[in-house]
Amino acid sequence: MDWIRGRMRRLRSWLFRNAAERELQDELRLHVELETEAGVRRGLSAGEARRVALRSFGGEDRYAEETRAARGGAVLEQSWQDLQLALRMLRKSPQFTVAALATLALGIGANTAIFTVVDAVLLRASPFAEPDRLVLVWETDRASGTVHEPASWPDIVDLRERSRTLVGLGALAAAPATLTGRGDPERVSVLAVTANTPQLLGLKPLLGQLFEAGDGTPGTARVLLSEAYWRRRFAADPAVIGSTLLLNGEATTVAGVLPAESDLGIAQVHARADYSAPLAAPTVDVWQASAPTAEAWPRQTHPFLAVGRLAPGATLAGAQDELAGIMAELERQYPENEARGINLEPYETVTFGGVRPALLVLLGAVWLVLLVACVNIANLLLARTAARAREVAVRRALGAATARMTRQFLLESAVLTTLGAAAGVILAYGGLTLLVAVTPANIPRLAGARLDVRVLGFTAAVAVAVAFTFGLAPLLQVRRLDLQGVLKAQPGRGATGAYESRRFRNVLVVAEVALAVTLVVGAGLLLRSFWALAAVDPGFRTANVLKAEYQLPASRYPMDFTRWPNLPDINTFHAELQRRVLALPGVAAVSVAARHPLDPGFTNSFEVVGREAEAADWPEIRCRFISSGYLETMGVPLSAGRALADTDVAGTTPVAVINRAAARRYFPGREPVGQQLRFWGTSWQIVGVIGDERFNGLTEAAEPAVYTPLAQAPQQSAVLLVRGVRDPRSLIPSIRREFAALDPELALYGTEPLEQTVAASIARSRFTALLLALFGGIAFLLALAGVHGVLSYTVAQRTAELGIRMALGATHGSVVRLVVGDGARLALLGITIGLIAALAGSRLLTSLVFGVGARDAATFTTVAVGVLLTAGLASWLPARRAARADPMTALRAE
Amino acid sequence: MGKERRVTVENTDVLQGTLDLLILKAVSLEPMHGWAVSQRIRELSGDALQVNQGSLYPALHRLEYRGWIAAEWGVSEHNRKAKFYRLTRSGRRQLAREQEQWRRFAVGVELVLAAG
Repeated sequence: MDWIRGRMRRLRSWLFRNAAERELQDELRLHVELETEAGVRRGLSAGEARRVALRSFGGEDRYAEETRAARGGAVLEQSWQDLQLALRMLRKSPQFTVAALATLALGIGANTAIFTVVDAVLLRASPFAEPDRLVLVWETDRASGTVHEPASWPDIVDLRERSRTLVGLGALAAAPATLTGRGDPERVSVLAVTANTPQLLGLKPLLGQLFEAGDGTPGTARVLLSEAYWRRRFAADPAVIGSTLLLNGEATTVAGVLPAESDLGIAQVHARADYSAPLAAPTVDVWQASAPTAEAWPRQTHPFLAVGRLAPGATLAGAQDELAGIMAELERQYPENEARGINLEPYETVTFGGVRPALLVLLGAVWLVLLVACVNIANLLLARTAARAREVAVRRALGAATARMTRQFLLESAVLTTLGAAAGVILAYGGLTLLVAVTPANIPRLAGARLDVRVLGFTAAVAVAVAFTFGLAPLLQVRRLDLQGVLKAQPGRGATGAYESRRFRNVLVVAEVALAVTLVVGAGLLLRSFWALAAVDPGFRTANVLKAEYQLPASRYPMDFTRWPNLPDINTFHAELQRRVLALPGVAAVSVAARHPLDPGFTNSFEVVGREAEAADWPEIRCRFISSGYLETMGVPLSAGRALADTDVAGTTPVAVINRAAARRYFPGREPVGQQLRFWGTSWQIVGVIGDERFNGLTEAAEPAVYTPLAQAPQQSAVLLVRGVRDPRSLIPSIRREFAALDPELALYGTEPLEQTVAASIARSRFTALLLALFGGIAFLLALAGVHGVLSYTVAQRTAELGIRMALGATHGSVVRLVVGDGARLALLGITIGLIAALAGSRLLTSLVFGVGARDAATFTTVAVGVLLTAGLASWLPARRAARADPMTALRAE
Repeated sequence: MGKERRVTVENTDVLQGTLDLLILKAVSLEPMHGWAVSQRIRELSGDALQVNQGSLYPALHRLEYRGWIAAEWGVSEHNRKAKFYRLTRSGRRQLAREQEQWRRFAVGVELVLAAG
């Protein structure tokens, strides 16, 4: 019964806490009155009696609080009060609150967004079974020194039959096709694969089934769709299984749908290959079963990318040795295999090799930012501790219970971190969306990036743990202190323990500056690389140039090698397209080429007629096929001789122009014009020398190249290059009309300003530089806030000391110098440590920088000086405040 | 000189049980308000024990919360509104328990001191 009554009382006292509060006041007032009267009776004056009565209560705060605590319901009520108090405290110091919230949000948000990207690209499970057992099998050529050549079909068959270290070998080749019969003709990214490839990779179909043995032989044309293409083109309709697709006019049956990310990072594999068929897109839409034959693909042709799986127990080195042995046997057997060898590479190295360093650097940067953020939170909270040491001491002296204060400080930290984490989540979400949007297309698997709750939870936990640890610091610190000391000491005259805490905060500031310097140096190096990259002269002018690609299907534009190069269907199409587009208003120049200037295409061995013996030591030369008008369209200068003309067609003398690099390399001190180059069994008369174009991306110097007329070396796949008078995008509709008028069954694809193509080629380096710059900037600002905060606090603590100095005749200048000197010392130490760390870390950046050394002295110096100056400024502000203070005011402070 | 001999009963760990016992004993005589409790303890102890007021009210509310005493608003001697505390039944049992404990404790201490 009493127990129930107790509960009821507790509930009632909480519900009616205002009434209870009033009753308590009444009760105590009566006590004071009675005590006063008793004092008067003892002979005291009324005022004195009252003072004595009041004093007998001891700490007023304490009696009230303890009485309330003894009353039931106190915990609930106090929690509510504490929450209100916490919010009030945060509102009361908006500078601190904003700084802490921003720090938390950046630390949690930026971290989560970047880590999610790294996780999606590098860490998440791939759809392949045991991807670390997959190897790419390249052929090598000792004659040309190439080590990433696609394989010939007969070699693949022989390797597959003789190898014990590989359990399977699949062949792949890009075979872009045009899909017709379903609305407008559409360019589709098709990968032709041997029927065993999907099983070999260990793929599981989302829908339908994989290929069966024999698929791809005549009469069994079957395809698998990628999940993305299935959703995009067929609205994820399951009925597509078993239906028929017309690819390049041939009927194929849809066997199944493959899950996302099943395409091996084909763009990366392609980029690794010394040469390959062009890809329509960096991802695969359709896998087509293919059953090559040795008749169609003899030993001397090397069109296939080969992927194998290591047998259980086999090692990469073991497989490399065994396959090299087999290739040596093949070399003895077949003259076509002369100088051929083998080169095995783990698939993951090829696919992620290019991306990994950049992502790891970003990941490292993110950790550094998180670290800086944590240091900054610690610093902010410690600064507050100092400010609150008196508050804590006063409240404890007044009798506030330590437990209650602990609870309140915890609550304050909780409110702060909850708000900060919430802001962080929003930032992470927005940041990730932004990242996926600005990321270049050549980073594999990024599209699959989703905000990871575990990652978010982890970063939030780290930040919150830091905030809580340092949120309680005021209590820990005050508990150690002599309360009387803190209370009696003027805040300006250095309370006990303040020195210790200041030293700790100095250490934090030095750490913060060091981390920021490391990041800013890295960001500086990448930014300089990016600028160097953007400033590279590619050798051609992209302004106002539009590119549009197309492919003439073999069914209607056959490659008849018996009549080659006299193929009127193909040659007329290219020439007619050029003529029609040139006639359009707003077009300044037009050319048709086999590839656009940023697509390197292939190389071929060659010799100079009359100097055949020298050719044995020569590497292969890059082969380009262009129509007339190329130099005008691309803005490439003519150095000597003449350009290729409309009159250079099949049946006239085969001619060629070479670039300056080729002239320098193969005709030093000679006149190249008039000489003859020989390859493909044809002698090509050199009629001119033109400027160097960088086909291999902007980072690689131009290599020797030969250009022959497209009409004398016909190609089924071609690119239309159009120089407009102004922005060429306005020309797209009329170009499409002319194209459709020539052949309504064909699709024009990759239609974009060439500037965009160039920008995309350096997008990854821009992406990395931009992000790192962002991180560097954040860390830098946080560090400056840290320096400023510490010095402001120090100055506030030394107000009296500085006042005395000024009263004794110190000048404003000497006070400023004193304070700024403190800041500069901290900054210098931090900068030194940061530069050493950056120097040690620069190795990581080697593969990412271009046109600037990873230990570039200019970057290091600029960052050091810049950080020192801004840190000086950050300390000058509090210094000026200190120097301006009136000495008398400073002395009397508090 | 009486002042030197007076012991202040405060709400410290050692003496808290003692303070509770004294309050329970005081209100067991008759219902009374807080100030009267402190006066009664002082009188009964022959001016030897002084209850610190800062400890008295927390103790009263704690005892009320535990259900050992009950409070009621009434009118005091000079016609003023006052909160009167009285002993409940469970309070009476608690008082008996604490008295017993205290006596054993006091006898024990006395024996120890007598040994020398």
